[in-house]
Amino acid sequence: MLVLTRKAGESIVIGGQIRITVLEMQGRQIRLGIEAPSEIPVHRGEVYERICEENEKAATAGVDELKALSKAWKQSGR
Amino acid sequence: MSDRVTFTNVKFGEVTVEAASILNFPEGVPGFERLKRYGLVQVDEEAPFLRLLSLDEPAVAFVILNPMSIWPDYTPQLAQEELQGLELANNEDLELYSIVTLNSDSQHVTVNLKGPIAINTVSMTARQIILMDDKYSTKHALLDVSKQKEGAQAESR
Repeated sequence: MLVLTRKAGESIVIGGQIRITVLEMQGRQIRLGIEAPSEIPVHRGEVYERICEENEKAATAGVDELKALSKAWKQSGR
Repeated sequence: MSDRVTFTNVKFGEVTVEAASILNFPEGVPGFERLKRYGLVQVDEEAPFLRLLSLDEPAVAFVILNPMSIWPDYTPQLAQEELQGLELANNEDLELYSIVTLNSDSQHVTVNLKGPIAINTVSMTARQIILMDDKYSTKHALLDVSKQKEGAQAESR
């Protein structure tokens, strides 16, 4: 991990396309401004990780589980 | 004569799809950023579930469904910046799907309502959008457990 120290008002540029600016510090929190092309998604780390985790669980879908689910779905009357 | 593509999935076997039905995810999905191309397969007996199979990685297969068809109140707020990458010419070209997390016990199957997959059905481009608010869960129960209890009560009479 690259570690840089910044003061409020200073920024970091990534790949020439993404700029992260330290806007202000409020107690234990830091407000960051992120400028990036719209096609690059920007998310809070813990939120991104929850989606990754769920995708990983879901990525090995199997025929048998799907068959059982279809059956259960039809039986639930929906 | 239509262009067809054949690929293999570890669990679903050999799959052939129309080239025009291949979905492109320019950034992949979180956790699978390298995988950009998926075949969308509809099997009538499996409705409302659809198969989303990776063309690039035979071990990766998702099951998805249209959340609005099950939960008509599902109204996620999609930020304009998120949709910009899809270059939608019309709002009607947008369709949302949710990834289903399967389980050996069907009663424990959940749906990720916090990370809908937005598809531009004209360009066949897609991306998984992470909703900003906490209104929806990554693990929304699919089968209504209360209905199951009703069934159990009827049986005990």
